Amino acid sequence: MILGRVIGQVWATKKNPYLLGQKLMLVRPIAWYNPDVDTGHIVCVDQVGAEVGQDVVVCLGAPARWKLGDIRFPVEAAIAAIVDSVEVAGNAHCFKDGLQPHGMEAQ
Amino acid sequence: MILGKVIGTLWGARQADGLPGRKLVQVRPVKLNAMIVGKEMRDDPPDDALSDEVVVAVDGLNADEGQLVLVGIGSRVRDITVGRDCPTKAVVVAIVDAAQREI
Repeated sequence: MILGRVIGQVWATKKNPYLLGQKLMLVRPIAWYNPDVDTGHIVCVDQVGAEVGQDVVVCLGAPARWKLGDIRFPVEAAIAAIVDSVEVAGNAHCFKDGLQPHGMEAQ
Repeated sequence: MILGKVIGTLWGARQADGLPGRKLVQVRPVKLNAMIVGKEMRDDPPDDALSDEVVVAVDGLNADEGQLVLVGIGSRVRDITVGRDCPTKAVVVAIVDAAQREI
């Protein structure tokens, strides 16, 4: 799972039937993330009700499908939780709405 | 999944088993830094908003050239949509109407 910030939304009408009715959020990964294709963004299915500006935990891979409740979902990223705060190596990094995300290095 | 623009189709006379009958499209991913805040991105995003990388994806939705699509990259997404015989990892899962970056 990775940490990210919701920065936008994606709308699509013509899509795989399992995606009908699913909310698609545009997320920017905050810390280290090693994707196949490095584009700086990841589109995730949202069933938790995350809004733009909130920091979220995104579930990648097979667990994303388990979380959505059906293994037939053609997704590999789903928002699993909305973050209140993050603590790194004893120092608290607060990620409340509106604050700039920091890198994960300890201060 | 990632956003990308379809820039063309691929044809090949000799293909691996599992590929014949599948439409292969070339997709250039959208760079997040190039998305303008507050502006909806629809079909035909400008060239400078796209990464130089080209992802080849299997297309089951008949996306046209120039359309903005959502590409799922992962072997399980492939298993679920086009089946395990298809030797690919990227599949077009949606044709995007609009994508907007708000912050």
